[in-house]
Amino acid sequence: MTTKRWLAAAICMLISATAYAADTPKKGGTLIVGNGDDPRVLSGNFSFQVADTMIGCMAYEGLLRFGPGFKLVPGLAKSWEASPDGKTYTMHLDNSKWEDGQPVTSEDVAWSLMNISAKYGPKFGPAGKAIDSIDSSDPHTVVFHLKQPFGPFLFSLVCEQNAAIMPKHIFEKGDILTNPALTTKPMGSGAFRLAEWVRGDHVTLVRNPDYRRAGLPYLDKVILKTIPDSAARVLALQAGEIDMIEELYFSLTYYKTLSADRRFQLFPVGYGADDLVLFNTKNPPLDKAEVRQALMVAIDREYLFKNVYLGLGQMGTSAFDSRLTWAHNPAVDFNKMYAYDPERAKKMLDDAGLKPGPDGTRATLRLAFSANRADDVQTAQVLQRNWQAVGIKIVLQGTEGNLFATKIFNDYDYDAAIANYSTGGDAALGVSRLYTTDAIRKGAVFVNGSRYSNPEVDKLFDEGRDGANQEERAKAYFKVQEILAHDLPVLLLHEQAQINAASVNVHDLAKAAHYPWWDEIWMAQ
Amino acid sequence: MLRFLLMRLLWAAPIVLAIAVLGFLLLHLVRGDPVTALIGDFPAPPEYVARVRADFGLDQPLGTQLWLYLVNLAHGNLGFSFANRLPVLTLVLDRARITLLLMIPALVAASTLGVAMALAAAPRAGSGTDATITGLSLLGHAVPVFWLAQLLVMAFAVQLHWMPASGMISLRNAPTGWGAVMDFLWHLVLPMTCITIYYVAVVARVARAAVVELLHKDFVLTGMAKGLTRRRVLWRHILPNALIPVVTVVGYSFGSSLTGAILTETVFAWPGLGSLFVSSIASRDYPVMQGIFLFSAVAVVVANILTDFVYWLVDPRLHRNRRVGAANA
Repeated sequence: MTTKRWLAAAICMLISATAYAADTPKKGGTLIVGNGDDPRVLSGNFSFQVADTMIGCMAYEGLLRFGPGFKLVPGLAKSWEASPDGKTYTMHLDNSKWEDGQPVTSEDVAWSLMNISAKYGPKFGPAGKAIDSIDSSDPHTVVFHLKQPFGPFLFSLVCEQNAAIMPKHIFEKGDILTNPALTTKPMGSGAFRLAEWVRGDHVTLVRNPDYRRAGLPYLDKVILKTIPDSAARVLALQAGEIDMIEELYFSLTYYKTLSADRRFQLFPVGYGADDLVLFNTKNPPLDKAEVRQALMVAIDREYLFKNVYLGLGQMGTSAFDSRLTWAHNPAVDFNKMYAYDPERAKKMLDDAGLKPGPDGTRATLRLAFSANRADDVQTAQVLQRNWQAVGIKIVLQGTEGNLFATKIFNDYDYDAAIANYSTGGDAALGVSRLYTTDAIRKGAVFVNGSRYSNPEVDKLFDEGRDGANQEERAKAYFKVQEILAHDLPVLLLHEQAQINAASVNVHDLAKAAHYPWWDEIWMAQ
Repeated sequence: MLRFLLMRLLWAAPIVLAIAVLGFLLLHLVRGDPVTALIGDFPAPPEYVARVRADFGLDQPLGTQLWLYLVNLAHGNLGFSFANRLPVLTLVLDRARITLLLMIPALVAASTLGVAMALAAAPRAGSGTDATITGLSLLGHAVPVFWLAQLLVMAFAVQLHWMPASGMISLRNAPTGWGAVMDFLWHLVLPMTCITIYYVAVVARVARAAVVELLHKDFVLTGMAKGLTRRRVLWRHILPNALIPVVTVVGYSFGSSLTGAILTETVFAWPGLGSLFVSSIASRDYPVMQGIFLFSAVAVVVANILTDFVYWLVDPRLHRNRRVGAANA
């Protein structure tokens, strides 16, 4: 059923995409996007935050872009080839200009990837470490030499992976972080240029007349309007004041309302994010895999899926989100291994030595969650009910989001915690950080907070990352999923639905798998 | 009068300093790491984290940070927002201006309406009119602002398309000149209504109580006995006296309203101080939080001084009593 669900979604997407393709694009018009936050910088290289990367990547482009199904398509690089050993990548640059008229050269690529992306980009970090040297002797050709093969290397060269290319001649002088080209005076080569930024209200971008793709973009303007409240964003969409809400800022509570309204289109995007439970594997009795397995069996995940997650997305079946397609092991199925069965869970806890005391309580655990997320609060309540039913007393500890991160990843002051992780689109980027020993980094957030450590798992994640091709990588990842399904340091409860909501007047939004290709979107006036 | 104002100002200085110190300490007591909030939920290279920490002085001991903060404050420098990459003073003043554009008309409307309602209700205390007015103002006070705000948007923006749903200007086909002013006023209506409904209740209740009390005073009876019309007694003799508690309430509301419109600003995406405060808390942007804290504290202090001044204007007794007091001393 799981694959079917995504297949159905993909078909819907395809149908809508072909329906639009029948129309010819119109030039002109303004697209208004409702955003939850103001951007901090107009570049995708400094954070993982949607407002920064989404807007930043309109001004500063990457070498590659994500096409449908995360297929890599040309960006600033018009073509590329990889050596068979996976250690050399050669990329050929398209003709492109910075806003001041200077050409975009291989020199800019090498300099900004090494001096900005590798230093400041949380997501480009691993790719940056894999690079040995970059040959930029020919201004139109960039040759990357890697220390060892790095599976997600090309994937890491997309703008939203913190790999925006920025002009060397602007940024090499003075301090990068306070350079006005990062905020008030961007000097990009992307489809749009900054026209106005009213802090807290909106950012207006206008068409770049010198854009490398002739005739594009279609839109005259893109306006990013900041509307902090999620209900207010949907109301603004319904009132026709904004045309689109990006998935992160679209609360699925409104899915039903909008899907019944023909004025709107809803479609899945994004590279997968999951609702998880982290177990503090250093705290008894959670140090025992048998106890963790019993807790999984005690959870009514179907109830959670239907009532808390509104039946959107799908139930987790493995430590790898099914949207990691080739890396996902379909043979591992939590629903079969750990089907909901409170009686079995009780027996498993008995066997693990956790016998009930005189009052029926076997153990008391603290369940931490972020009180900012309504889904997490409800999940916590369901887990509490499910676990108390098998004799594990649960103390709920909801805290504000930022404090939650400190508590879990710096203080390790929790027993179980509900968290949300993005897959990062590749297991080497978003999944390994949950499980490997070198990802136990006190103070670093959203890494291995359960402090699970297994040399075999470490080795398999290394092999998965360094494999020269997809088959080799998948072999290691399939194996690691089997081990993790047994050890369960983390429970993957739910693969989140990530849905973009937009007016039907906006066309060709669904061409890209992540952020839309702003240059190819057009509006029916 | 000058002496009186001067004394108030002298008193204000230590209050503001105490608030600055207290605000700094309270905000730093809140746990959570601004660097985490700044970089996002993805593991960042440790060198970058250290770099950002040093850039914003977050690696210094708390005492040093406080000292630097106060020294900067003395120079009129409220610090640099690390989330917005702008000086805090610029940011706060800019957003405060936008909040004032919303709050001043709302408070003026609320005071006028509230007093009018009190004057209509009080002389008929206990009647059906009085019960209706009192009931309505109580309802206005009790209704949650965010609920009312969403209801207004659903009715007037989503269903009827009469009013804009959010923001303070039209982004699509933005008008210019007088059109822009009209467009702004159009955007002002719904959020202003929300705030007015809340404050009108406060003002009406206070003013009604004052008028009811004054109606039984001797000077009112004397006026009536002298043959003055009811209208004249109400407008010339009761109203000025009833305004004193109203001034207190409005003055107090003005100070607190600068940040008090958080909910309304959030629902209507009004880019004022309230929404800046919310986003700064989420990103642990200490300098901005301190800046807003200080700014609103100063606003309350200033509003209080102004309130005292207005008292002095509307109530000649204060002036006289003070003189008598001074003579006695």
